[in-house]
Amino acid sequence: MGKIERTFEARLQKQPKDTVRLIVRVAGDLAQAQTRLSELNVPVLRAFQLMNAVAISCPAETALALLQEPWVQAIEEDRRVFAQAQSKGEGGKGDRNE
Amino acid sequence: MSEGKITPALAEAMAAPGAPREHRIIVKYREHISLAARPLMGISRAQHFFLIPAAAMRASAEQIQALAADPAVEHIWPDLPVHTCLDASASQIRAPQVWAAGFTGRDVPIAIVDTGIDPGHPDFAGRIVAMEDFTGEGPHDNHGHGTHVAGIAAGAGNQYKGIAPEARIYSAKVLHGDGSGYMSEVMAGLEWAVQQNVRVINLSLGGVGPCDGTDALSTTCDAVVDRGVMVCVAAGNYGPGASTVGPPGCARKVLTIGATSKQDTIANFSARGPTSDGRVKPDILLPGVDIVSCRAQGTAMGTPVDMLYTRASGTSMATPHGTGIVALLLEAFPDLTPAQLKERLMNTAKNLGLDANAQGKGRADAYQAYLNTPFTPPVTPPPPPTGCLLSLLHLFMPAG
Repeated sequence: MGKIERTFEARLQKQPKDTVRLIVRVAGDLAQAQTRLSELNVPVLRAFQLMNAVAISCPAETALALLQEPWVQAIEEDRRVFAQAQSKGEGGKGDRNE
Repeated sequence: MSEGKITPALAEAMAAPGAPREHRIIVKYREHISLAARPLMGISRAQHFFLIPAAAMRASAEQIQALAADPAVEHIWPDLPVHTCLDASASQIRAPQVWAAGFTGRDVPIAIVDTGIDPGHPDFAGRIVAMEDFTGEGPHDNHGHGTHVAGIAAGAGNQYKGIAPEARIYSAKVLHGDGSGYMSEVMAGLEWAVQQNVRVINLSLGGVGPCDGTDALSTTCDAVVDRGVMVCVAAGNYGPGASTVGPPGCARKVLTIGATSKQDTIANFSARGPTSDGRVKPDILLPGVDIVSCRAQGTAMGTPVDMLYTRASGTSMATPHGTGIVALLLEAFPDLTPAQLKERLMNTAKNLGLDANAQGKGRADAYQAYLNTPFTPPVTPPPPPTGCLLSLLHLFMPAG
């Protein structure tokens, strides 16, 4: 598998100016990666020690450029998650739960 | 002669390290034994009953053994405090039998990673150790979901009681007031929970499937398990179609939980496997339909019952049943690893006869997991009074 899922890459290419939230998996030193992102004017929202990664928000074109950085192991969308309760009893469905 | 007369829960309570010198018991005598002939083994303060040939008393372990050896004695139950249960689901999974054995999740640290918690709810009094916010909205629950979930896992109300009512609670708010958040916020909550040294983390949340367990959130969940922390995850409410389990429910090492009704039928909404890389999910099912639990002040999630409680359905509600069971097991067997806990819950589940990608191994059972033996239907006479009014009634009902 490459650094990015193909369908997600195509989405970024289609709307290069859109701001996207990403999780970037880092190969090597996390602090150095944060320094590099700072140089690129990409704000780091959070850093994760358990999986050596950062959460960032940036334009899609910047995300695509990051793929060229050697320390970038993988980039994926910071997807939304939802509370898994329904407001009514059994039988409801839907992609949201409230 | 005394074999089988003492209920397993009482026997375990008697044998437990640090067991009290005396136990409150109810002795049932054989039908033909007159009041005067009822053996008491030196116990002077017995409360005799007349509707059934029985008496309540306090007795030492030696006296209980002597009573059990007497042919006039038919059965000896523990005399438990009574209360109503968490909308009957605690009884359904036989948590009260584990309480009767002396385990209530006392001081086991659990993390609810959710919409926050209402720290003013009386059912959590004195047991919320820490609250952290990763949303920018503050740690209080402005949605209601997290408080409801926490109540199922560890509420200690008189009216509705959670599965591990003496667990210590850590709350990480990672979902916003609209009930949604980003994977990165959940990951931050997970890292915080690990830093707090909790033993089990509840994730009643998820994204849309299918997934293969390699996404960042699922990978983080597996890393948490590698640190020795159990993670219970909702399968999701995107069923009944195939491959509807979403992240992080598709993570390899977590315990993924779907939902059943009170009748042990699978909930229609409960997400089904397999994962997109072909693994069976969910791992188990637990009750998740019409569950009454704690209501956060100022919120209206679900169908409010009164100021303090609300009713809700979802795999979100099934998952904290699992977290509560894990807390009970960790109090009883502190050295169990996440892999052993997962295996124990799966191997002792009640097989509902459904497809593996609907039920996993079946509907989990707290008492069976505690005993660590394959699920067998409860035998007659019925199990000891479970601490619930409902179950106490069963005690005096005819067998069958």
